[in-house]
Formats: sequence, structure tokens, C-alpha cells
Amino acid sequence: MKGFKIAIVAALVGLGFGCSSEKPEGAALAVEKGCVACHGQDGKGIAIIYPNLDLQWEEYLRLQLLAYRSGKRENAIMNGIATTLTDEDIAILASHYGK
Amino acid sequence: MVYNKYNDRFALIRSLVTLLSASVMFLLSGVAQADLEEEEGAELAWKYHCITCHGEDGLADSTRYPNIGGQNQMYLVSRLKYFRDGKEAGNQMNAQAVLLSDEVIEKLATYFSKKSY
Repeated sequence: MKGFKIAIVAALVGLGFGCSSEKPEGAALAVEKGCVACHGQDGKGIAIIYPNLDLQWEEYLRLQLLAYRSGKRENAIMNGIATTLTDEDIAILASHYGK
Repeated sequence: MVYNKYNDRFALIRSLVTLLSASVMFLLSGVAQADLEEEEGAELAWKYHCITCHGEDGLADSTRYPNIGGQNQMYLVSRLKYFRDGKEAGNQMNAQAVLLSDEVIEKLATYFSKKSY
């Protein structure tokens, strides 16, 4: 019986991890879309010409990615990258890096 | 015994004291300089209304506005010049940045890059 309880708890914990897959998904997408090349995995800019993203509001990051995609905000690098992003990608990346 | 610098037993102590006081003065002047820069930065941040949206320490009061405290200095400089050049039509930063000289931009960027919250 004790073993059964432990199995249930383990299953629930496993389920919990399975459902909260937002972290790995954001991290994977940040690699796939090339964000990490300049902004790092944790949002620290790799050079001081690039912004740190870890200190930024999630909402601001989302709005900026949309502005890059529409061309409203101009940047040679970011305009190209942003055109490859869906609305969902943008939400995931903003959540991954922002706060 | 005739006094000369080679037989002065206190020479070492005296030179150590001189060195120590010189170091202290050097450090104090560095601190004073940093304080002055900080003070000037704070005045400029107030004068040019940065703090209205971005807060005194660079923590924005709305999630629509970026946090700039602790942001990279060169990025902040490039961003202010971008707005000053009017590259993004309709952005409310344009009217703010058009008032800024290169020197003021450098100072504001340095000031906020050193902030934390």
C-alpha cells in the first residue's frame, strides 16, 4: 500500500513537470530562433551593444518583438529574425526572457 | 652622527605614511568623482523627464515601458540616438530624445546602466 502511494505521488509529480513545460519550451525556442547568439540563454547580452533581456518586462519584450516584425521598430538584425516568429513564438520568448 | 637620508631610521615609516596618505587621498578623490557623476546623472534624469516613466532607479512604472536600470550602457546610447534620429515614427521617446546632446546621452546612459533596483 505504501509503495502504491509513493507511485501515485511520483506520477503526480511527473505530471506536474509534464504540464509546466513552459521553461524548456522557451529555452529550446530561444536556441532555435537564434536569440541566444546575442542575448545568451539567460538574457544577459553577450556584448554591451546588445540589451540585457532578463531585467525586462515580459509585456515590453512582447511589444518590441511585434514592432520588429511589423517593421515599426528598425533594426537590421532583429527585423529579419522577428519575421520568422508567430504570435505564439513571441509570447513564449517574451515569457522566457522577461519578467 | 650627521643626519642624512641613509641613516634616518624613521625614513621607512615616513615614506610609508606618505604613501598611505597619498593612497587615501587618491581613493577619496575617486569616490568624490563618482559621487559627482551620480549627482549630475540624477539631475539630468530628472531634467529630461526620464524618471517620469522609467523611475528613479530605472524600474519602469508600467510594463509597457522598458526597465533601463542596469541595462548595457552602449545599448542605451544607441537607443537614445535612434529616437533622436526619429527612426520610429510616433514613438513618444522621439520628442524627449531630440533635446539631448551626445554628451547628455552618454551621461544618462552611464547613469542608468549603473543603477539597480
